[in-house]
Amino acid sequence: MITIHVRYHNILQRGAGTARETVELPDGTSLAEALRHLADQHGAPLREMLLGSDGNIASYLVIFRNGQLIGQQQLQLPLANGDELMLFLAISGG
Amino acid sequence: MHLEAIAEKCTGCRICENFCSVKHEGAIWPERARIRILAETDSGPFTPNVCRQCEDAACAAACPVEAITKDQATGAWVVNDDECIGCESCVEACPYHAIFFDAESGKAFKCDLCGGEPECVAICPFGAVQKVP
Amino acid sequence: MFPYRGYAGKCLYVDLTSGKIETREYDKALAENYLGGNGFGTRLLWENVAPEVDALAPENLLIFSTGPLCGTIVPNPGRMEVIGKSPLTGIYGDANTGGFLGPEFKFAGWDAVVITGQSPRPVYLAIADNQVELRDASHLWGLTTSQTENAIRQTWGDPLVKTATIGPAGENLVRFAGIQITPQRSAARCGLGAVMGSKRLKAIAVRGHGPIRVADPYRLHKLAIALHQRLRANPIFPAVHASGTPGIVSLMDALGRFPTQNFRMGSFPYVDHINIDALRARAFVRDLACFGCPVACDKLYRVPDGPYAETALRSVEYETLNALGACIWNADLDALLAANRLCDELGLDTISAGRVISFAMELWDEEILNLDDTGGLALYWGDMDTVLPLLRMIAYREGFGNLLAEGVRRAAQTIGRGAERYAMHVKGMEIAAQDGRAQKSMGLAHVTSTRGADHLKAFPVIDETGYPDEGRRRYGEQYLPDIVQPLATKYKAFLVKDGEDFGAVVDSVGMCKSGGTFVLAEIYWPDIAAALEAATAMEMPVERLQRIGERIYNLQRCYNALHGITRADDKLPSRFSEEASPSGNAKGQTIDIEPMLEEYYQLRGWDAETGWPTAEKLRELGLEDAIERLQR
Repeated sequence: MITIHVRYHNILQRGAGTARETVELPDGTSLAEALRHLADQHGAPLREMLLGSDGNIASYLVIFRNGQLIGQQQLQLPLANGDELMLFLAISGG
Repeated sequence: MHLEAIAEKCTGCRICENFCSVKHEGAIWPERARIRILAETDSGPFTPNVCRQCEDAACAAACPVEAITKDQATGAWVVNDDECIGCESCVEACPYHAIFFDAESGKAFKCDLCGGEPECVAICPFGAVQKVP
Repeated sequence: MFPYRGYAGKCLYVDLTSGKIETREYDKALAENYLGGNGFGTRLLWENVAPEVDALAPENLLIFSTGPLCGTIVPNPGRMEVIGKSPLTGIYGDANTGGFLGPEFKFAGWDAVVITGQSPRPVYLAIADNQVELRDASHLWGLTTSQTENAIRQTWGDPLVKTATIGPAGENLVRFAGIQITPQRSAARCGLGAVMGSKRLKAIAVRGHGPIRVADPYRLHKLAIALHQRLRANPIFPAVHASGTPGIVSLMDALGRFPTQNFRMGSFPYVDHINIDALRARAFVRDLACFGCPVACDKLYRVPDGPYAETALRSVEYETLNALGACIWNADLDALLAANRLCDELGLDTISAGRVISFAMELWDEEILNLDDTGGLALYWGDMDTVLPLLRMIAYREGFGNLLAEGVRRAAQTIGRGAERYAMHVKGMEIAAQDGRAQKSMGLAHVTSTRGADHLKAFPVIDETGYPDEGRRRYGEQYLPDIVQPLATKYKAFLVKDGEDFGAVVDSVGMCKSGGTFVLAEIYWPDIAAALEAATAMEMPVERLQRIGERIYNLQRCYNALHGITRADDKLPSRFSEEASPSGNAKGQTIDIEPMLEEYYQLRGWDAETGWPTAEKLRELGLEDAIERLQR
């Protein structure tokens, strides 16, 4: 098993009902699978924020893994023990 | 049917006033809107204020020429321009300040529920004005 | 007779020296070639304010300018422009504001107010529909912005009067004094509040009761409904509404794009104390909107207890949370909100005010400044017990505040001893809360902006986070993924140029850059072209609108060229190329502006050596008079 730390920001925090959580996942879990797990675990409304209307990981989700911005094409990469994920919605400005 | 304001949802944007005036006057003209945002300060609290379509309408009762009649299809009290003599008795009588006087035309004007599909209800981004059957 | 609808069709020209007020019909050719708002002011400045005129001289113009969509039913039509030569930069200057003033001008029957001269005594301009007069403001001089507004409303007897006011900072000619706009909005940048102060114009107060008539209300209504619906259906809309610009604080911090300690860093270790989640938990009261805006990104905040209890304010923005927070190493949210409110009352641009303080704090830290220089003030990072009094000292030009009131460029020149290295500006304008190392397009935008370092001219926001949908919606598949990636430089010259031209149009019609045109990326060239046609009855194919945006931007550049600006001035402080960003997604990054700039000049049709528009480009844009003036 691996342990990952998740940080929710802005309205995701309200969706999750928490700012942070730590979850245990099987070895080899991909980022996409981890997000799906979080969506299933929390249900609505977080589920709708993480998954688009088509059930895929939402394109407007901005993900940082250990401080690095993760692109859509990297969603299938496996996570490592101790990884820190930061989740935002893709709002812009300023 | 009548309209109900949900004050705590109102952001004070005045979109309802603007669309109302376009619908009824063909211009953006808050002074002629049938719905008005009442603001305690520039930063609220705000209350959308619009005709309640009262059961016993004070405006209709006050009108000396019976120019304000109920549209049975929508439930709206409607000013009949041909009848209105511009005496402003209705404006004075309305306890909600929801009927107005147009000095240019010399007629009273008020919310007519847009014939059943109120513009303000459709356009308010946050549902601060709603239809009640 | 002015032929186009959407406009009020007339302007006020006010000469404060003589007290003469004149009504002029809106210039038809100007509307056709520059639309209004920003374009209108640009053209007037170009024609009437020569390079040798000092920004604080009576001959400078101060132009309050709305556009043809301002006050209409398109989404967020509440914006207006203030234009004049900037006392901060000495070149083209403008500031944009939301709120309710622009539409009120139009309900009163005016598209623009053009102010020149200098009044012998303090006055304010009162506009009650067609009744316009200059009133004595001796009793208002010295008051803060909200005191001034309240006093005017009380005399007038109407709480719905909208105002533009200056505070003590504008009166004392602080070079980054802003103009405060009902309700607690601000035309903040470029120091145009000092121009207003130099003219002894304390305020403009407006109340209008008339209509804004459009050419085809049915068509405009249909278009407007569709735009409103598109905004509301956007998946990011709920987040933008719920949080406004403070919602990006932690995101920009994670990107390493959140200036900290005067740009030494791009992330703030205490960011959780000043982000939207902290702000909402601590002080949220209610959602607020500008005129006609369905996004309602504004909020009322109130500090509930503690030393700053009852500090209540709206328009708390990302920029201020940075300038009076991370950039000066302040994690005390209550004190930050108090400082924000204080800037609003004094009439200070929060961005430049924060930046002159972070500049001074870094000089203190580097031991370039000592107690003798500061008049006994110790400038420790994050010390809000010093910052709050210092903001007052700046506004009243007292002691060390008098030096900072000049802005970082002038202050650094006066201090010497290597202080220039820490003056984070381009062309004299303090850099806002972006970092070109973390988002390359913003670095380019800072140097190509016509009002000095600025993010809002090009406003490249679609490449902040790598989110592909907005890039796809705007530019199609062909530029992905580079165009949306913050660290990529490919296509960024294109992105910046397009943003500048489109932004010039947005600022000229009277719409907002945060409510769908840039943020959310829903409203674009064809939407504004169609809305303009419906509102004005001007024929507006997209190509013509694009040409107008380009014309406005080129004329601003030409105006700056007359003031000696060349390619040599299009550069970032050395920090961005010499010191690698230490944090966030940008860790290890520097920025090399030159290749992007080269590409940008090519796209613009500007001379690569001078950075000036070529004669060919100017001819193409119908700016023959600029060719002649630039040759001289």
